[in-house]
Amino acid sequence: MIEEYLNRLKRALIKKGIPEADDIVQYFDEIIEDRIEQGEDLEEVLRDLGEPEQIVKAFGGKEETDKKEKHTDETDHTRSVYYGIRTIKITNTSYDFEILRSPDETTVFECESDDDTMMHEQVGDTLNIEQDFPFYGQGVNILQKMFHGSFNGGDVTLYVPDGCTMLMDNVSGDIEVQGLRLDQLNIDSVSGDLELEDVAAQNMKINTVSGDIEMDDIVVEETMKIDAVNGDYDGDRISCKNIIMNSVNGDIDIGLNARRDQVDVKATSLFHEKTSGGGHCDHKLRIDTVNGDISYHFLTD
Amino acid sequence: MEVQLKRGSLEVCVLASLLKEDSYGYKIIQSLQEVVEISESTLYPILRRLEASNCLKSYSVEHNGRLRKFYSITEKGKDKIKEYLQDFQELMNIFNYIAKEVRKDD
Repeated sequence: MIEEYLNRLKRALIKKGIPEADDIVQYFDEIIEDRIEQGEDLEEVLRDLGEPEQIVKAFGGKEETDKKEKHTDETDHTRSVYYGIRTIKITNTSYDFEILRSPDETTVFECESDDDTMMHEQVGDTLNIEQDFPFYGQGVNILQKMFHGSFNGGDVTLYVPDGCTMLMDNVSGDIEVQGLRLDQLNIDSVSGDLELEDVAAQNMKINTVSGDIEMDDIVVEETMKIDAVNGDYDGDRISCKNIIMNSVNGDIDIGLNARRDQVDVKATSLFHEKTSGGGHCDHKLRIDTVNGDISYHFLTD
Repeated sequence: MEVQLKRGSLEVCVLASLLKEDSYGYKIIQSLQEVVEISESTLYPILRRLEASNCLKSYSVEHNGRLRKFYSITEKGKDKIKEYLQDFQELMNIFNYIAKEVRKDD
């Protein structure tokens, strides 16, 4: 009887296009077994849980817009689930982004905004997310607002599946990235701050003008390239064998997951002190600044 | 209770139920049912969201020949509880103001 019930549940979930069907069935299987173990009658348990078709209604499914969550202050909430995404391209001006790891192979885009300017669309295996910024006819005010960060417009939460490539162009939004396992990660930011935590990628390229970069627990298999003009870079527990950092004014402070004797360091600064050392090791750290301070430390330092 | 308010509160409730020790689906529902109405269908998406935002982690343990999924709270999850309690203080101030004004009106 349990199997019949669970099969019905699974079919109903698949019919509704819910990607985690197996997970959900396992979850209910566990709960049913637990309740029986606690002495409840199987028939009563199944009756209490309800018809599988009813349960499935609580689980959402394909493209979903929470119309009932539209408040009188005109805040829009949208949530879209995408399948088969391998590349994500983001062009953002002012929204703040929280980019997290998807627990499965779906890509989920959630957006809360009061100006409805963030477009999102799947083209093949690419997800394009672009802010349609109302530049025209507004003159210098727009640029001033952007750089003073008083344009919010909205918040995006994005769940990204493993193995994707993410290319992001950002102006002033603050970007938080956590837990991702990517192929390629490129972020170009102007004044928005970037915070990366527990991120792994084959290759990473980060560019910032005045936004600060903070990263902890990062693993890059091939090359990590960081370019900053004014923004400061603060990194800790970084695992990468080929790190290239360039800064004009920004300070660089990096903590590596490698021993001092494993890393070949070349750190030069035009106006500040130069350091180098390590000889020929399999880890390379190259830091070049004009005016920024440089500080690096290793395991057991 | 207003939908948004309740949803946020339920998430923090689930996190709080994991503070003392790790727990699993059925047990979480048992411990919360005394406090708030929560069904199996409501709990699942909450656990999903919390796991996706790294507020909790899950692992499987064998029990009587089947696998039982345990959940454990993370540091981020604990921060979320703290934040909720701080927000609640502000909510209390608002509540007191409203109650006071209602009394004046009587």
